[in-house]
Amino acid sequence: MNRKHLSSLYKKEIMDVIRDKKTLLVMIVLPLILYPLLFIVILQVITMINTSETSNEYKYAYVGKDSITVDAISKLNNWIDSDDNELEYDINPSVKYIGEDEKTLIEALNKEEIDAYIKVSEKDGQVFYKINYLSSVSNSANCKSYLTEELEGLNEESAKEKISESGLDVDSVLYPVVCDSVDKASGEEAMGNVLGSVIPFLLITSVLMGCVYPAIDATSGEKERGTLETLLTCPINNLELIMSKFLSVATIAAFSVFINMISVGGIAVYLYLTMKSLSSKFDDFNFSTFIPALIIVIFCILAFALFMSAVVMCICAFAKSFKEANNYVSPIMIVVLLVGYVGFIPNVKLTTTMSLIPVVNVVLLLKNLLAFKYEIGTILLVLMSNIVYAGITVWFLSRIYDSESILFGESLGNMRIFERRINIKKNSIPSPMDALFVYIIVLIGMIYVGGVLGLKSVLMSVFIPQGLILLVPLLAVIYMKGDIKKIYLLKLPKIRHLLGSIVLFAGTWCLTSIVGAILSQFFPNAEMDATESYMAIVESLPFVGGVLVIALLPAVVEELFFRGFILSSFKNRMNPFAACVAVSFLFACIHMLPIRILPIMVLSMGLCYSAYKSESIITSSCMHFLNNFISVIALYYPKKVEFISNMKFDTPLKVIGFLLIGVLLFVIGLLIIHGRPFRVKEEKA
Amino acid sequence: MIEACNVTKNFIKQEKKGIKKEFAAVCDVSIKTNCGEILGVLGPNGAGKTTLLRMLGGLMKPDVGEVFVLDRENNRISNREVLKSYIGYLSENTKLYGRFTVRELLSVFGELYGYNKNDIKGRIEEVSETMMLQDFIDNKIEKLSTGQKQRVSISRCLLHDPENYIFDEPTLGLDIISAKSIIDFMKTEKTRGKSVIYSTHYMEEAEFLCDRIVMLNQGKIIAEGSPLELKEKYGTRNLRETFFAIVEENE
Repeated sequence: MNRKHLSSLYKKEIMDVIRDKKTLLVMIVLPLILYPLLFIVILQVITMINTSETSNEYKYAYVGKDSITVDAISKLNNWIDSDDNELEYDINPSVKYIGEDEKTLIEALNKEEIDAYIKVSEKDGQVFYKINYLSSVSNSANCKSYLTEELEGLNEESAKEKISESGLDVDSVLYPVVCDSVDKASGEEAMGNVLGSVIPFLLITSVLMGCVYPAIDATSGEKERGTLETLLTCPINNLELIMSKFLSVATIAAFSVFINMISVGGIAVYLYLTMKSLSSKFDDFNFSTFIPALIIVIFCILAFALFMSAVVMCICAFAKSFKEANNYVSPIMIVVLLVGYVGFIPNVKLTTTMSLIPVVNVVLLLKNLLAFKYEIGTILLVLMSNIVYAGITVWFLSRIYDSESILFGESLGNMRIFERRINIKKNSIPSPMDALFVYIIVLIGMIYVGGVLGLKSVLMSVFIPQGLILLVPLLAVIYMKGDIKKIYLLKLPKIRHLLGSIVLFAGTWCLTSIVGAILSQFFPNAEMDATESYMAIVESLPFVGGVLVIALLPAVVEELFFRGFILSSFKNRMNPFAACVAVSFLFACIHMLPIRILPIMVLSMGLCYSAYKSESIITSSCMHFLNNFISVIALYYPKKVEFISNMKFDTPLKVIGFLLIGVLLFVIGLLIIHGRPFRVKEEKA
Repeated sequence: MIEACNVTKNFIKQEKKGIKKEFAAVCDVSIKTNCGEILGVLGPNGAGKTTLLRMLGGLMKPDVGEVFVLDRENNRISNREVLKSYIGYLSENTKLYGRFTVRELLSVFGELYGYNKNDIKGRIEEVSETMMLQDFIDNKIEKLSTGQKQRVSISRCLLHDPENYIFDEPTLGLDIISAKSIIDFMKTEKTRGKSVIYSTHYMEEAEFLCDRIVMLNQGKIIAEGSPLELKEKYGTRNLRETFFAIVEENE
């Protein structure tokens, strides 16, 4: 990579982006004006609500005119007006209405002429005040709360009087146990805890807002304006082009965060000054305690900006116009913002697994940092994982930019799924964007529907996700009038392909075992997490049932979806290798086991190759089944096959030996499936 | 001098029933330009002209065959990145960065062509004098007229003083004055000993401008020669009639 080219291109990209009025608006004007404006509006609304609530007069009534009721109500009213009553309210309650019968009062309550009515009864010396109110009317609900508190006060006061009358010590009888609490958290810690929920979400949003427009502008915007071809006439290579665009988008995103931080910081200082004038707790507040956290936050946000820029650019690269790119980015923005809410959920901890989940890791780390929890290992893991993900995405992006059909031809987009069915041609193949859309629907369905229903029974937790994986794409194919046989590769394979796939699986299994074993050294709990979900099935089903549910069902359903539906869509518009990598990544992600992403991707690459070359789903299904079957045996008979379930690579010889066998089988499998070398020999002969 | 040896470029076309089919946009084409020559590439829409010129300009990689240029020392340069620095490429699709001023744009491209900052300044002055950009050199490109933009495009193309030029339908949609500036430029460069490859739909323009013509149809060369040779061969009065005769003969 030529550094001079990179710096010139970077300068050009930055100049181009910052001269775009839309970007400037989103990046500078919105945060500097919108946030303070929103804050002022929210503050005003809250003040208005409070004012309207406290300035009201509560009107309550009571049923009947009997002596018990009159006595009870007068007691309550006297208590409300009493000097001993320490409850402070800015309202003026009044007994507006005394109904002869309850029916009249219910009508009055429904017409909101009164806020509540009380029905009094007496039993065994106890007086019962039954408050009738409407929870759907805020004033009525407030009146109920008010009356409840006043009645509790009256209750305590009556109890005190009775205890005093019987000559006992009121405090020791009424309060034999006294509970008190002291908040030992400093003002900084208390504020950090509050900020930890809000700030990560704001920062995530600002990174997203900061990178989306520059990313669209630098990719599809450049294609739309026709300047990309001009740039390609220069003696530069794809990597220089991509890196310059990527770095410029990340820079703009980081700058946007900086602007946002200034804006939010301004609001925070304003809040602090207001709070300080109201409460003495903030007198010793020291802003400098946040400095170390802020420094790490900056690095963390930079890493996240790199990752998000790469992801958004990757998606935009498939679009051929600004508008199309906007459509593609919207679902990603929704997903990221939804995931960003994790910061608001209490008790979600940043574990090792969480540290590897994009977006979630950054939100939780920011939350920890603002609560002054510094764990160097976790910080490094989050930073590194974001940088690694960004690197992988940039590599993928450079592959996309290597595709001349994307640079000069039609985009990969063209989502048929949103077209009217009548306009869709028969036997069409879904586009990659169609496939991605279906994938997202399946993923969201698995998280929400599968998650909720999965709690009901063990089998549901398997059948619901598998059902979604089977049905959602199938419905999409039917809607798009796709050729089911062709898309799902429903064809008998050649014996050579089947044999080759089995050998390829043996090689892949050896390699994934090594990768898995290496990863388990670093993340010992990850393997436990992976098997834990299946243990419930093992406990509830016999071995044959386990084979059907854990091995066969996913082998068929997942293959139809990933190596059938998605691979068919991707290979139609991308080069085969990039298509296989993309499918494998999606396949690994749906397993929701971040630590196992790499081994699953290795396995999936083998499955993709087998399905791609044989053009039959049966080969990859066989491989998938074998893989799952071995796991089922290990789950049911852990002691008998300990060499599988607890495979240890404790000596270099074992690692090298297994690696060599794996590579050898892998290559042999590839050669058998590929078949070309044998044919060449035949031709020569 | 640019030379393409047996280049083929395949694309995947979507057939009616969603079936992919590979087709050759350019099939086994060999062409060569000489110094001080304008070579015209003609053909109907979809003949493969743009794909051929993109391969010659290093924008696309041929699936089969090789494209190379010869430098002043007669070294054969086929590396696409290096090759691009020997070529000035201009097409209808090579638009300019509207948000930049003319000076900024030329400066960025100068840097990408390997000039240092001081040399760029000097080179921009030279080019702006040649192409008469002085009046609007510090104006934003989006504010310029079509003719002025065309002059900037040519300036971008000749900034690195290449030995070869590739023009893909450069006068398409331009008014007569703007088109003339491009034609004049090509003539000038030809007299300076540069080689020019030029594709157009305007037969009259090609007839008086080109020294040699290559006609493409369905990705293959169907005729080659000087305008005079072609007219004589097909017994036609002008290149337009020759073009129709050749296309008809091949269909």
